[in-house]
Amino acid sequence: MEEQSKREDQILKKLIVEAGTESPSHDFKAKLMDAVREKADQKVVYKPLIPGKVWIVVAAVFIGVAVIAVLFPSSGMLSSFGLDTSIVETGISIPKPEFSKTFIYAMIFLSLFLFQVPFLKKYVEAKYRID
Amino acid sequence: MNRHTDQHYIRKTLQGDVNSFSVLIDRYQNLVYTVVLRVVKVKEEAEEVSQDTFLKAFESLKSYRGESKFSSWLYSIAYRKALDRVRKNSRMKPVELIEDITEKNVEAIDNALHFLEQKERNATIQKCIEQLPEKEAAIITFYYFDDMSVREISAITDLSEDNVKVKLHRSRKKLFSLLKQFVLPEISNSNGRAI
Repeated sequence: MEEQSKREDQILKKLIVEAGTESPSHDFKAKLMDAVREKADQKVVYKPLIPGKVWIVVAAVFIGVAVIAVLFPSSGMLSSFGLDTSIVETGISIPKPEFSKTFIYAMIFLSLFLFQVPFLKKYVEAKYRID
Repeated sequence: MNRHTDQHYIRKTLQGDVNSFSVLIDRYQNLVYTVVLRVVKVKEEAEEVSQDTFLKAFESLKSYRGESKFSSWLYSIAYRKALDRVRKNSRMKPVELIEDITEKNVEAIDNALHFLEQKERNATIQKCIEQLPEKEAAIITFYYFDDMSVREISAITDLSEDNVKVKLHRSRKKLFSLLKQFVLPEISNSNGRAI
């Protein structure tokens, strides 16, 4: 029985390989490439509003100003640019905010909601993935 | 002849070089079309479904992670799209009765096939595959033409490995029954004697 299956396997393999593949019509590729190009044109390429390099410059300036203000509060380097450094010299006092219970609950639920967004996104992507 | 891998052209396509995708079309259009045609059985529809397959592949190229062969990934799209088309037209084939084939029959069929011209032989096997139910026609092509393993076929078709094995076995038997009818019609008669 197994011998017969092997023989059938051999014969079919030979026949199917010999029969080869079928070809679509000659303009199949041209038509398809037109459709592909159309799809490619529809794709929106993401371009950030502020490029990465500008963000680096902004961060460097910000850190530089903060370092100068903290390390040399009385050197007058920043005041010569017209910046008020009194807040650094006198120490920062932050007012204590008071929140109502409703507000706190609302914030907790909002953060829970935002927390599940990436999980939901992953779930939906996995569900509709092709491969 | 270019010798770059599929991955090379996939990367270039993703970088925006749309023409690189045409190399992938060149490589796989016949294989995809053959599998789709064997499932949907109608040339015009097979061409439409093959186009849809490549377009879907182009759109989803980002999600191809290279874990399986590109051809397998493409086949899985083609297989699903072809089955969808058949379901839409509600043309699924009912399972047919399989005739018992003996070892003697197998050798007689092989002998008879040798006497046919290659063209005739090809036409005969194509006709026989056409008679198979959709899923089995695709599985037979993956297994015998593309030399895919049962595991690979199971991944493409979403069927269990055991199910793939059963379908392979059944379609082999069906193909031999059909071949017998085509090349040995005289002993396919009920009395079993040559006329």
